[in-house]
Amino acid sequence: MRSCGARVPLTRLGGVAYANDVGGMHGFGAWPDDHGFESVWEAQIFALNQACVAAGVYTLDEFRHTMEQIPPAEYYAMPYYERWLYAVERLLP
Amino acid sequence: MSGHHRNGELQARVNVLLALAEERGIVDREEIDRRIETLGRSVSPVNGARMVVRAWGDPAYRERLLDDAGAAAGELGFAGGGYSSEIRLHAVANTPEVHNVVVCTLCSCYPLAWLGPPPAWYKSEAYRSRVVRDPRGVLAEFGTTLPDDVEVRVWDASAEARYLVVPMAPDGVDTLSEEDQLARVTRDCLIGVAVP
Repeated sequence: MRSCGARVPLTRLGGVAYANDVGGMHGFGAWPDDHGFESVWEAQIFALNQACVAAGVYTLDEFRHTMEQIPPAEYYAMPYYERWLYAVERLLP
Repeated sequence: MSGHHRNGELQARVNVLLALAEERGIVDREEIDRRIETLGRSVSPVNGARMVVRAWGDPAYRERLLDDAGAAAGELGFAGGGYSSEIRLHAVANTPEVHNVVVCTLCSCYPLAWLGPPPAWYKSEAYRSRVVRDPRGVLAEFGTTLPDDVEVRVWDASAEARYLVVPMAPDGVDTLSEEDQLARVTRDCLIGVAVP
């Protein structure tokens, strides 16, 4: 798999593409207007994830890897911070 | 399902995790609140603007900034941190020949520890997918039209490497007060979709 930070897209090496690997893709439409946290839970999952990484419960790469394995249809349908929640729910317990 | 109901369900799921983290002694609610407060208060794009304005007026600082941006940020009291010390900050400077713009095609890597959370559009698939194949078009939509002979460099941030764009000083910068200079260096300038 290609984790965040790999310089050569694995797809070009005959590997597997994940839903998050969107560089160059067409058809995502317009980007959203600027906004900060929209709900309390968004800020809380953000801070909880930061604290878990800082405490060594899991690494930032494990966190990303978990999010990157969300099935594509679910990944695109999921609001941004719900992807974070999905990952922390699998890494913290 | 209504949006309100959905939001309540997501909050309930987060509450379960917060309770679990507290029970396991990883983090308590006070630290969660403190981290959220820090994001809203002491970490902001103004930190990046201070680094840029200092670099405009101090060639030696500019050199240090481009050489080791994390250390140069530290000189001004912006320590970074939050997640881990493995995250490196890199500053890339615009010149008359080269314009820089930052993205994270794979997720949303951003110099968060120094500048606060990224804007919503930076995290969107729309921006991430398109800026690497049509950077001039994306920049134009942000109101930044570059001459054809200016090279555009798109930096794809990663878990370990976060990028900060150092824009060129506007004409007549010497006549501007420090506050006015800071006001010109917006967050969008630091990402590279705008210029001061």
